Amino acid sequence: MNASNILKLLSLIAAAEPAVLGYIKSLLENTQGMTGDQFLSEADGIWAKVKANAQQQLEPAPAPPAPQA
Amino acid sequence: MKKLYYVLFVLMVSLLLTGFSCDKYAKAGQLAKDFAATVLVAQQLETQAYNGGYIQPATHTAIETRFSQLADAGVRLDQAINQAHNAQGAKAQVDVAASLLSDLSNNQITGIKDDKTRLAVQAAIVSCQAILDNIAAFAQ
Repeated sequence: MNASNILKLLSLIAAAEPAVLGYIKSLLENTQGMTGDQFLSEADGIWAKVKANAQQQLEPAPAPPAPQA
Repeated sequence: MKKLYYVLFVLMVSLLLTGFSCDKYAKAGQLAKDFAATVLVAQQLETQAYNGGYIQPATHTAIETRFSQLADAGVRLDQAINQAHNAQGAKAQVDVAASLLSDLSNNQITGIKDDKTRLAVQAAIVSCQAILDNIAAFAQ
């Protein structure tokens, strides 16, 4: 599989699942100039998202409206 | 369900793409970021499967509780790396995260009755464990 095919495959994957696009981008972006602090700052931002997602999933479903008399 | 395999493929490819840095602090930070990003994808994968009806509510709740605990452990891991300015002071937090991933893998995910979904989520968790193993190697 040559580079063109790999890029085509990655495009298909990204189109299939938009959430993956950001992940691929974050892994492929040029991070050579980033410091440890910058990496850890980004990691903390991602953990905040994981925490928020979990809290959202763990929230009890809203109670149905009370029947009107 | 096809999307799950796409996501898994990307996770596996990403393991080969994790960057390299000469600076041990930057490298530890980069691995910590990759670890967080991979956990996020594993969580999104699980949530997507739950929304698709492939995971029972009780199992979903147990798994999301572990993801929440993993997020707390991840923040503490980042703090430990930051304080030590490498991964050597982060061994205790690596152990906590490893224990949570192990619990997810051995106890919670086994509750997913749909075989394909269980394998997909399991593979995503294995990807997280692989990156954490790399951080652990730095913490020796």
